[in-house]
Amino acid sequence: MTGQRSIKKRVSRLLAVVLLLTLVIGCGKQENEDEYYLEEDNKLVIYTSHKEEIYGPIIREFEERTGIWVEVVSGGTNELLERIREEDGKDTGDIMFGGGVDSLEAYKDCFVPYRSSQYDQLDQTYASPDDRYTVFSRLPIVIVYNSKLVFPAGTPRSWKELLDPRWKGEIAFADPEKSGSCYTALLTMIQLLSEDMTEEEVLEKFASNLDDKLLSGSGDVLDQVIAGTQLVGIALEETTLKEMADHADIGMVYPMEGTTAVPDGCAIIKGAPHEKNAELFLEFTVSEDVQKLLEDRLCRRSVRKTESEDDIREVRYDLEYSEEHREEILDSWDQLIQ
Amino acid sequence: MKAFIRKSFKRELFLCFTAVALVPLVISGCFLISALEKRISQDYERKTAVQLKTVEDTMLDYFDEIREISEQIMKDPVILRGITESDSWLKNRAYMQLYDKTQAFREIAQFDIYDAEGNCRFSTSPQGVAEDLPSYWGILKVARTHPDELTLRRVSQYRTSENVCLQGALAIMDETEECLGFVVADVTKEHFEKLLSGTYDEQSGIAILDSYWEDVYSTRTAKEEKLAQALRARRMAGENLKQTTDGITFYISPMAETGLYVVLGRSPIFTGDVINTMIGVMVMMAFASFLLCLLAAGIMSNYLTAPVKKLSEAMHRVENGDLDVQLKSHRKDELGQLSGSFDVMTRELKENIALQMRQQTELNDSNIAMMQAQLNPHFLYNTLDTIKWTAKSHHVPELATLASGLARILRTSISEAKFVKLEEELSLVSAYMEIQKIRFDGNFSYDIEVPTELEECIVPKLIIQPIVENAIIHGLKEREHGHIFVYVYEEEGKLYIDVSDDGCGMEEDVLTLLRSRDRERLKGHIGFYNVDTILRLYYGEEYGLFAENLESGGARIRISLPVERAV
Repeated sequence: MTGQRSIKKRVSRLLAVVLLLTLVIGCGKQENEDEYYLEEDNKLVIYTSHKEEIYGPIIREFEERTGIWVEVVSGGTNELLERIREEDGKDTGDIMFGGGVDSLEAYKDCFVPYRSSQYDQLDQTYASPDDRYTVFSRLPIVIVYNSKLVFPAGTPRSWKELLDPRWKGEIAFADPEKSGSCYTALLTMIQLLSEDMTEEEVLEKFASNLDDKLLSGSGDVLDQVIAGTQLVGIALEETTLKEMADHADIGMVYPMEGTTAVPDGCAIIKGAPHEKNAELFLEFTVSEDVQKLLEDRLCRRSVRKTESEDDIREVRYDLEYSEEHREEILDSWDQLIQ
Repeated sequence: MKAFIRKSFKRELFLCFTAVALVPLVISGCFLISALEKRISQDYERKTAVQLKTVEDTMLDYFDEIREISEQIMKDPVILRGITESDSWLKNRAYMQLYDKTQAFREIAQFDIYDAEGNCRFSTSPQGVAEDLPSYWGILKVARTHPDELTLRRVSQYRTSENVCLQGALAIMDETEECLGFVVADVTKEHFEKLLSGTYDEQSGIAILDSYWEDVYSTRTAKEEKLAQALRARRMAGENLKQTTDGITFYISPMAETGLYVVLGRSPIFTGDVINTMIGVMVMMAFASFLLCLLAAGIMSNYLTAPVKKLSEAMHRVENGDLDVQLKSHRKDELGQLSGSFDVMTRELKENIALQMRQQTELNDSNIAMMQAQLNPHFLYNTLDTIKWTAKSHHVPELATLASGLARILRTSISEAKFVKLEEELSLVSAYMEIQKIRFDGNFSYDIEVPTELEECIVPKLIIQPIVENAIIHGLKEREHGHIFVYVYEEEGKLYIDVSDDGCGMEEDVLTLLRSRDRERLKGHIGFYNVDTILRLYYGEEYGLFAENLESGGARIRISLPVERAV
């Protein structure tokens, strides 16, 4: 008897719950969004350390031409590379777009080898020995000066001149420990002056010439020179040209000894979920159109082989040496600065 | 909980009322809200669809217009010549011509003329010149490959502060399909604002997205919500485009062949506030009905329990002996009937008690009478003893018998005991008879017959003597010789004592009188009445006296009482 009663009770409770549920569900409405569903084949996730003005037009054109939807994750080179290493092929992006080839080489275990079909048309000075990355654009280092405060005749023409005490305290330069391009500049200087003086001499002279005015980032270099706080500086050709295009009061000198133009590159991430699309994008970055756009619009130098001679004297940057002696050089630099 | 509710009638009623009042209220409330929501949402969506369509139509008309103007420009020989011409005067003429042509339309867009290499030749922009565009790239490349269509492209401004959002380009082709240049229409934010004003209401935000869902143009509200960015991210991640956390609802519509999308974001009509208000109203109504239930339960339970309580109180008073309680309920229902029955019951109880009291008083009366009769019995007894002995010494045996009989009767009367052995009662009767015999000069004789085993029976004292007295006085009246016969026997557990005489018998009316057991009328037969009453009071109504005439003449009085033996 009681058993029957409790069953009845249970049934009625169940009914009440069902009734309430129908009410609640009745209130909601499911909408069909299938028409906006994107196939995985149509996606690409790009990690980029480029500025938006670089990656924006390129990625957009890539989307328009291929129909692939690109998700951009932007950040600093080291930040992104560390992230890639941490992700270790799981839930990771497809391609690393940007970052100097030295950095990419340092993280080469995170990338899969891929040799571009346009490999033969590309400058192979800095080509990855095992195709872990593909170069994207060359970025020569130049000497900049404030064109209002420094007469053209008095501008430093060479690396060696920068070591002259007359520029003491007038050189804008960032901490090479923090700025990759400044470290490259420092090494370039050492490399190019190696015939005349030793590494220690160069470091010592340059450090003393900075007169303790070390900037915190390479971005400050041009600002300081434009503002006239410091008269000369060492910067990338690309950023200098952009500032010049914006009518800033600066001039640019390619040093007589020559300069290095360490390229940045592009590398397909190990475990890329959309590897085919990543390959497509990599091909696109070295395609004629993109490379042309780099030179035309983006103040960068193409990595494609050209018929014409370069207008600058470019020396191959010793990547291996720079990487091997990094700690050592930075250590002695530290001591000199202090 | 259940036990707590079950303990009070009021609570049970309240629970019942609450269930009856609230369940339909809540259910209908839920239905109402959901129906209302659905209905209003539908209306809202319809209105939104209309707005969306308006925006779309406006945009499509606009693109048609741009195309028309562009085509007019393309066909103008002066302008065409200006593209390739290096002669300043001719260039100037072409520029003037462009200005003239676009005069009426500069409000809605800027027009630029590019040569085949993508260099800007003339522009109606305020700067007078537009940025060169790469012809191998972007919009110009597409325009060249699709010369029949107006190619639309979003413009991103990375460095300049110009606010061109969208460009539409048409390639100028000659008869040999050679590209001569391009007409590019620049649509700025201001143009969009002007164009779209009035197509949407204030609560809405509009975003125009390109085919990859990048933001082309957003109204202020849409921008604040970062609509385009969010939508694109969701679509990329394969998430639901609409998410419950959104502060707005939005509607996406592809804009015909243009590859653009219109997104209309609106603050949802059913914000949490509205629903909360509705739920709030419902809760308040529920609370009100809850209170009402409480009140009704109170009143109802009072209405129902008050008479019960009254009844229970009255019962209590009755228990305490107050029989004057009367409920006098005016109700006609079952409770009223119950109260009425109670009233009747107490009334009857009261009458019954009164009757008992009266009977008790009567018993006391007879007791008092009996006690009065015992006044100074010792003196009488002693006197009688003296008489007996005097008679003996004077050899008057009758006197001695009289005196000793009387003394025996008196002794029994004096004794405190109310009950005596039948034996004793009978010896008292024979003493009495002996006296009467002398009084009546031995004109009558008597016999007593009693089985030995019944002699030990216990009977109330002085129950036989009054009957025998009756028989002698009334039965043997005016008789030469008479006989009194006392016969004791037992039948079915009852003790019967028959007292019969062989006299004239009783008159019929006297017989009826005796049977009536009515004290008032039995005045003359007080002995008979007393014995009858004593028996009935002691043993109940079934016992007592029974009088009848014998066929052989004479009368018989039968005393009946239960057989009780001394322990």
